Amino acid sequence: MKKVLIGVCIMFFMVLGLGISIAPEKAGAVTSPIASIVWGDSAMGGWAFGDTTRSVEITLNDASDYDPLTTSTVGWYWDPSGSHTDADSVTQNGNTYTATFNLTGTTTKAGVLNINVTDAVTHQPIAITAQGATDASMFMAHNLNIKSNSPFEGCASTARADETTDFSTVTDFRSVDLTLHCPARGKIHFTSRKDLTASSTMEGLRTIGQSLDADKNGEFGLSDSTMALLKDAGAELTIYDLPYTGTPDVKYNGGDSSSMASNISYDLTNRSLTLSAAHFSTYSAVPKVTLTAPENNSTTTADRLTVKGSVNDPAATVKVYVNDSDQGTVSVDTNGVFEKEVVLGSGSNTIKVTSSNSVGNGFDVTRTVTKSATLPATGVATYLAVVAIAAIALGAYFVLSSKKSTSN
Amino acid sequence: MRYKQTFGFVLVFWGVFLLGAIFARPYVNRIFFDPSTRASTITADQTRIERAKTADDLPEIKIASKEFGVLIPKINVNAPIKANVDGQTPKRYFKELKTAVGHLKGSALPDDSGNMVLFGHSSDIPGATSQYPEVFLFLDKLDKGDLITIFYQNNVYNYAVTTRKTVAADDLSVIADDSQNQLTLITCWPPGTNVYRMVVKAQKK
Repeated sequence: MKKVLIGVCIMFFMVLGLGISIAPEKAGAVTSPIASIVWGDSAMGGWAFGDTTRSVEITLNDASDYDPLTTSTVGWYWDPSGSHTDADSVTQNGNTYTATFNLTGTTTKAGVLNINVTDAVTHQPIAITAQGATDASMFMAHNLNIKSNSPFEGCASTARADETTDFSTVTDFRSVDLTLHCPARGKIHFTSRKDLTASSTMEGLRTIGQSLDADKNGEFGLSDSTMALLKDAGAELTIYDLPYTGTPDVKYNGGDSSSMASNISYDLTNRSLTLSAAHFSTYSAVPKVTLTAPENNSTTTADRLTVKGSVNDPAATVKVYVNDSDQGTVSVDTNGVFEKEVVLGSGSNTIKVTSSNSVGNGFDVTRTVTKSATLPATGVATYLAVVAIAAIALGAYFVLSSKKSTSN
Repeated sequence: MRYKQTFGFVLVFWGVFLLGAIFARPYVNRIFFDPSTRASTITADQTRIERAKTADDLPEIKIASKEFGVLIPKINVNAPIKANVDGQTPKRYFKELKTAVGHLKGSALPDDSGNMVLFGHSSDIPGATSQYPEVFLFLDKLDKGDLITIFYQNNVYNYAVTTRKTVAADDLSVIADDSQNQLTLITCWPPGTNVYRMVVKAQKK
């Protein structure tokens, strides 16, 4: 009996020792100690703009298991003071710890804030697996107002209200209905909602005023090569206050826009042009020349002909060239109608009409006119008969002269 | 001396052969197929042609082209027309004239009010393969009032000959557009040469 008692005692202490040796410092029975992470201001869907205080609540399954301290590592895209920020305060209420970050000052900030949870005693990180990694991150934009940060130069106008997207009303920067508006020049409205949270996009928006081509009437667009997200995006573009009496031609970076611009329409009443832009750089609305005479690839017998047409900007400068020879500036009447008599050379004549105004140069319009030199020849070339007769004459001469010399 | 004589004979024979190749066909045809001495092979009478509104109204004629063709019963011309043939590029229009009469590029079409200019061969290069080598060989046989019919997009346009004359190759006045519903036929003259042009003018009826 005594031996049995001693054996039981030995086994008890062995089990106790094993238990002590394998038990954690504070025995956490759960593998996912964090029950939830909730970012402050649920109305914003966990995304913040321009506030001075943002908070995050981290609720543990059992607070008695830990003495947690929360810190944050903030991945600001641009911040002279560095990219790491601890929570300004951490308070505990039962199982819930609230970490608060104060975003003070007028510094413009944007970035993805990542939450780390660390046990205050052991300094061991507590894995955030229960909620998933996405819950540990939040995009923050602070004081990022694209107009006040980077004003659009030359855009002030009392004629139209500014429709540029107000970021203070954006609830989710992953899906933004984005409009860039220059009331004096034009408007870009992106046709699909954009995720603006990428570093390059935020950087581009911070300096958007330098990217917007709005310094000249009749031209509008985005030129910054860093704005890949917006440059490649389809958008509806409007250009205001054009001088045209009819739909102008559209140029893309000064050249053909046929593969870039579609759905081109012109509001004659408001003199504004609207188009669908497939890709961004600078679009411009340029004068358009329409020729009514001469017809292309026509034939004439006359020494002169009259070039007739119209341009949709009566103030435009119209010039006529014949075979690249400048025929001078053409007088354009108040309706944009013009005509110019030119002298043709024999054969093919290339007649080119150019137009230009304060916006830029329009596309050249060319016509080829052939001035006939002779009527079509539909018979055998006469020289063949001449050659045949000459051959006969020469042959006869050879025959006769050889006979004469033989007889002598 | 014998070589010189032989060479002389070769030259004479070659010259005679070439002259024959150029002139024999058109002038033999002019002798044996003179429309003024032969009945026309185009069977419909003139009244029926003049009354026809569309090419389908003339089933008795195997019209060369209802889309764009020319019919001149008096000189047995029944040929398709190739539209918009550039009259300044011989290499190209000689190719077009193998299968059709040429419509001078820039001249009017039948449904316009201007001057429609057609040109065709009076003779062709020796050895050339062409369906219409002498289509206008008898243009000089047309007289005032003779009927010329143009089929265009199945419609019938009738013209009456007004004048016929021989002009210099550079007399461009005959193709000038006077907006008078005219038809102008042009061919080289005399046959076998391209020294002059035989020009027949007709007025739309």
